[in-house]
Amino acid sequence: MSTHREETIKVRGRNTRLFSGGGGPPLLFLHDTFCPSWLPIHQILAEHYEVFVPMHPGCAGSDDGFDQFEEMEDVVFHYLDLCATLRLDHPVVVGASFGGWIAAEWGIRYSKTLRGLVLIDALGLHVSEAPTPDILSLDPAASRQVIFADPFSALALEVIPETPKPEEVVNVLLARQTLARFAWQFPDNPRLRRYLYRVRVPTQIVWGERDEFVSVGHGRAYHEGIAKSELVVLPGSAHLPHVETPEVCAQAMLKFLRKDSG
Amino acid sequence: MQVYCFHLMPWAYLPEDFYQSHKSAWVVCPNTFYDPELGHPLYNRYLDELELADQLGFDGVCVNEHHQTAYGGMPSPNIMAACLARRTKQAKLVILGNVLPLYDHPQRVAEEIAMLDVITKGRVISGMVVGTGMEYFSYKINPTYARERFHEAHDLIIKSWTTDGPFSWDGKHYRFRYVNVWPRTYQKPHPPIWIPGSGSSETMEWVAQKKYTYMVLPTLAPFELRRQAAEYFSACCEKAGYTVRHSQIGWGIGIYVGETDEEARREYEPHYWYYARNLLKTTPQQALPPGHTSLASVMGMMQRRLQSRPGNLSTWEEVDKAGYVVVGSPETVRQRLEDYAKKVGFGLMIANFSVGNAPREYTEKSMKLFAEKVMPKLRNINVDIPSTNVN
Repeated sequence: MSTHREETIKVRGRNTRLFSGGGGPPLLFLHDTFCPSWLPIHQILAEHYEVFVPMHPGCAGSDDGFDQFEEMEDVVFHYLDLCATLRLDHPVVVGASFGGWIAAEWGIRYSKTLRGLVLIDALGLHVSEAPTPDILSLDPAASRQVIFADPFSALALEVIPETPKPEEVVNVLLARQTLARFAWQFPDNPRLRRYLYRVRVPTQIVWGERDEFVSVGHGRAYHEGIAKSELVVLPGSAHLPHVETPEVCAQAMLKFLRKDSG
Repeated sequence: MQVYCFHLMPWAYLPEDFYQSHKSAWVVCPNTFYDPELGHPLYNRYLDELELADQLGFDGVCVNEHHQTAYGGMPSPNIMAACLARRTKQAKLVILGNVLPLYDHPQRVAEEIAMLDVITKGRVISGMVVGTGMEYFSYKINPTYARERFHEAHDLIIKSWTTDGPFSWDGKHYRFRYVNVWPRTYQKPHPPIWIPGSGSSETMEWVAQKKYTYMVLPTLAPFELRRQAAEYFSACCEKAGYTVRHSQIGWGIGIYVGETDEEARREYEPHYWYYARNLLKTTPQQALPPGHTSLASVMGMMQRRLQSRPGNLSTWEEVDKAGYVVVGSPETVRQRLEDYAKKVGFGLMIANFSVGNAPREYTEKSMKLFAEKVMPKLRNINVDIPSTNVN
């Protein structure tokens, strides 16, 4: 098992915290705003891919650059710039939650730059029959209820504690700021759905069956909108299947990636 | 010092079990609790109380802006100021203040303030605020832009009052080809600007640079923290190259005057708890949406303010000691206010006489006792010496 690296790179002058590890074709993992770090699932994927996990603007040591990030498209350009900086050629892009939204916005615009796309419980779609709760108004206990299949598990309490550890407080606040900048009250872009047909790369949509933040109705909407897509619903997890059930989630992804994206 | 009468116009009829049964008096507090049949006399009584303040010789009356809440009944402070404009004769009308970032057209604020200023022949004081975190939920304004929008809206409004129109505004949050505010303000260059704050250092530095008046909000209990805020503001003025004037420091405070200390406490306390426990009730998520307050301030507040808010204080003795309110006989209230005034140096006192669900008789009695027996004795404290070198 390889160990991962941590470094801060410059992306057009912006300090960007980057975790990476493994070997093989490049895989860019766009994280959720709850677990901005190198995770067990990255370790599993690193056995098959060279995995890059950059921290989003404002998160976990990356510059917020908030004067430059006003629309999701700004973030898409940031990651295109990051690929140029790292010389990543046609990466597989995996995005979870907020990161999945970025990946989807990327996919409708520049899907030819991607080897494959995986969306895990992605935000981004406005699905009127499956409304999202106002996540930033919820207290920690209520957040755990919508995010985790088992809200009382040690994992849930570790990811969303009652009170963050003193050394974590700033990172938690910054991650919430990043989420608020793009997802205030409605974590979606109402215009995204109409352009999903433009995603022309093999796409896997992975969804935690018990997600009560963006419910599986959003997964189905992504699946309906993206022609070359498959939907995998994981029964044992909620909003963070890559964290709640990393082994199952990784195996499902690897199976798809072997089949469709070499 | 000058003494102003402030009002929140709170909803006085929340159910008995509200504190236990509801998470917040804000944003999602069901508006079925609002009964217009009760609201009609309540609004008019509250306006009567401010009109009484004018008759009793207060220097001004103050209204403010909150949305979707039982805490305060003035979603449009300018409408309340308009109600008072022709019914008051001497008092300044202090709008404390308009929540600038909520509006996509700051010109509307510039216009309404100018209208009031002309109608009252220059009795208007214009407060400007970022607003509570809760307003960002109610109006779906992105809190990560709160500070930027506040500053840009402020700059636009000031320019619209001080620059001949029409002109164009090419900003980040506001872009207008035609800015040309009619009417123009009566006061020149524009009505005085007061900025209420709850201790954020960035705000105090900015207010000092602008030479505006900073009002220390009462929600930053206890006394010692609030005194430190005023001290920091004074230091900011020194840093900006001048000595703070007393009239640049406003002190928000709840006051109740009874015939005796015992009577005052007996009459005031139940209504104080209605205010502290019910009306101030909110959630940390509502109060501090991401980006609304700087990280440094949030960290500071997490440590002190949320713990020290009065809803969390368990006894009257703690509330009294914290100096969040000043309650007692005329002599007690005078002593305490004099003591505070001398320690802090404030030349403006912004006093709230109507607490929670207190009945009209109490509020009026307290205001009259205060005006007769306390106010005259405060007049000579913290008066600025007219100076030629004030910019």
